[in-house]
Amino acid sequence: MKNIFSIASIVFKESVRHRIIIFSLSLSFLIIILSLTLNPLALGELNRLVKDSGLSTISLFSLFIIFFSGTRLIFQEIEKKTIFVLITKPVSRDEIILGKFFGLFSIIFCFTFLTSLFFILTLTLKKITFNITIFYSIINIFLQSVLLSSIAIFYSTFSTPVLSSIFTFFTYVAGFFVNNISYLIEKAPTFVLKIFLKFMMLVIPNFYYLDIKVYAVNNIPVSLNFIIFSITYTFIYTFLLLYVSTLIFRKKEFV
Amino acid sequence: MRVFFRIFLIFLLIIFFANILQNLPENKKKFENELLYFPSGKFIKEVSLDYKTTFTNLMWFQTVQYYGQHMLTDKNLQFLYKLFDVITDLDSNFLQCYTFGGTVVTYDQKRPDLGFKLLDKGMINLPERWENPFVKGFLYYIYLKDYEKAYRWFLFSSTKKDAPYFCKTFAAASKKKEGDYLTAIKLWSEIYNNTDNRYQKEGAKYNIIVLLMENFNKVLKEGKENIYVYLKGEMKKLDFLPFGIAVKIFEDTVIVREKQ
Amino acid sequence: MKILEVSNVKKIYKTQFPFKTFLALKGISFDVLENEIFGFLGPNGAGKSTTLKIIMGILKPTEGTVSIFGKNIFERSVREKIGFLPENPSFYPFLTAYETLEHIGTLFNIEKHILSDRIKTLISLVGLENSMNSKVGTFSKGMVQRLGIAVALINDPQLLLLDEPMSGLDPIGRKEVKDIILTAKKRGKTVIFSTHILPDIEMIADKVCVINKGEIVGTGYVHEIIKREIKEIDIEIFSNENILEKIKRFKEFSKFFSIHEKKVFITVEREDVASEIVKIVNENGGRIVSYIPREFSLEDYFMKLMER
Repeated sequence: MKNIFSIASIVFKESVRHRIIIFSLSLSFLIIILSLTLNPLALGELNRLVKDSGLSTISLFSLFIIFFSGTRLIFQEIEKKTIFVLITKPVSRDEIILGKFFGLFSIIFCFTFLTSLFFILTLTLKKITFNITIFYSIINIFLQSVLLSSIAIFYSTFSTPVLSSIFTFFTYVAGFFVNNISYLIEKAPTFVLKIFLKFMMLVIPNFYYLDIKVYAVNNIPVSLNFIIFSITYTFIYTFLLLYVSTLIFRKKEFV
Repeated sequence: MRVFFRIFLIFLLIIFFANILQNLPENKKKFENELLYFPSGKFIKEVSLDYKTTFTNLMWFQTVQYYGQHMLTDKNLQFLYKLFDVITDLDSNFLQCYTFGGTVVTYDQKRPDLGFKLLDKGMINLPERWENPFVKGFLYYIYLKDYEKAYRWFLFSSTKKDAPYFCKTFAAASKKKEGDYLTAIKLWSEIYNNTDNRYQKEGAKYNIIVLLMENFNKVLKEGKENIYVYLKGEMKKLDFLPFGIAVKIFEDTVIVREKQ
Repeated sequence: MKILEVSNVKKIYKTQFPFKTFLALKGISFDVLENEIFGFLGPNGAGKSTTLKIIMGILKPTEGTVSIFGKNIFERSVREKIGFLPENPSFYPFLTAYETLEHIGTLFNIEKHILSDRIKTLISLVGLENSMNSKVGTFSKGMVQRLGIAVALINDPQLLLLDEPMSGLDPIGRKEVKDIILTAKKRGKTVIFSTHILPDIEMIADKVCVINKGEIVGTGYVHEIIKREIKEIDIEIFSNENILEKIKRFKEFSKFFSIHEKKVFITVEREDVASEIVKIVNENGGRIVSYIPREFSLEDYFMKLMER
């Protein structure tokens, strides 16, 4: 446990030293403030616009952080040979994977928390109406980021940073088009194909179904059930990805 | 082996929860909720960079599915126009989108005003094509039963390059519906003269004869006093006919035939 | 007591081409006893680093077993007793030297106050006091090597494994590293280090293991290998005619004999012959310019093994 914390704190420190967090934070604050000035363009839809741009900013920069820092976590360690120092110490390989994951988790959490705070403050000061759904939406954006982090870690246990960035990105995109598979299922000519497509629809990370920005922006209530199932789903998926990552990492040799 | 079993078990759990997640009410009606706040096509065009055609195809795909799904269930198609509008913003040359969109928006969304708006947009963006005015005429004919306007749009479509012969047929049909049988016959004669296709010629001839017969019978039934004088006058007006006709008057009916 | 036991370790690397493999270690076996300095000697690419990596569990042997303190390397209790310096070590460039040591120290579960004292001691031991708080990314190769040694020593290990510890260091640095190794031995620790530089082994190692092309070609105690007997003696003489006349007869006993006007160079293999020559020179008014006895060195041993 202490080792995981120690490794995670190094990951966090790196992103602080490389100014990834401060860069993302300042840019997203800027975007939220800028969205307030768009009143003339928004045609009376300013409330929606501010909420939408705020939530999108949180999710976009979380993505940015994961692509730039998450996909390099493991492989960079191998490439720069810093792993030799780490794995010869009394640290199990599982702890390394978990440490890296929780480091990334803490970066994302820190970013999401601070941006959300700023965002909610802006909404309150500007007297823009919002309800509980906006908090739910932020939770779900965070869940998406967590799932994506574990995907990034998973890919980076066996491929180069550039490749795992690409893989992660395409998994993310696939997760957003997953609902379109349901249309394909109706058109599928054979039963086997239908089953296969349904399987794909369930297996691809359901980013589309976790996203509830549209409800938050328009103050439409979302049931607590939805959040509970989202959390359960994300938790199990993340668990599987980390488990498989540790299995791969345990077998790995470092030349 | 135990590891594989464990992974398989977690996998099943994922599938189970994914299924629940996808079928929660929030996700079931998510697409509609998204459509409520769908950005304009011009905006998407700007942000889709070099992938406009991809986006267009994707949107088209979703739209057709949306149409089909709701037609089969609740027939609530309130976002149909918006979708077609976005697609045609993305790709202004998407002809099928104007014609199909115009038809289904008028017919199934029951908004002829929006359907015509879509078709007008099509005519502005694709002025060379005959399809858009034709469909507009068609909708006036079938849906609004405004035969005068239908006639004009059919006629307009027939002036376009590569317009098929039936543009005029439809114009003629509109005229006939309106009661202006003479113009209808004129149109059919024109079709007769301008086509080399035997079937189209025969069809035009048949239509002319039926039109004449219907009209004469109508006059007869109305009990016009001097039917002979009337017919003579009408025959004079019909001197443009591309083929000769023979008219026989019986007590209660008039028969028209091609002169052999 | 055997600290390390390597028995019949074979390592086959897979290459990028399928069905093509590279045999890096052809089944090597050796033991290291407690409180020994064990030198691993071999030319570049002989398999020294591969062996050390297998011992540390970075690589897995294709065949054979390794046991440290009678246990498996993957056990936490074993790792806690080992300090390892990889070849060309590298550390997170965004941490300072102090933070690096602190990070590694926490992994060893060392208490905070003990750790901070130990870090300060180690940093002065390896001579990094002035750059303690600068980032590792700005360090030169030698400084990184020094930091690597400090990292290897952070847990006060029972067994030190050093892969090329002297590479990248200036002469002072090399001397310091040798001192560190010797001090460790004095304190009852065991040290295993690899090198391709002979004098390093000759100076500090108790036992040497020569490896070439993935095979152990020779192993033994350094003091046995370097039998302190004289192999040959080089003598340079400033002579006169008298002497020349007298020593000509030694030509058949010597390995090398040449006369340049009044200077004579002679290499002889027997000590009695040499003293005879010295005696003649002294008696006849000549002068001995130099007298160099040559011992049988590790280099000769090494060359002999390589020739085989």
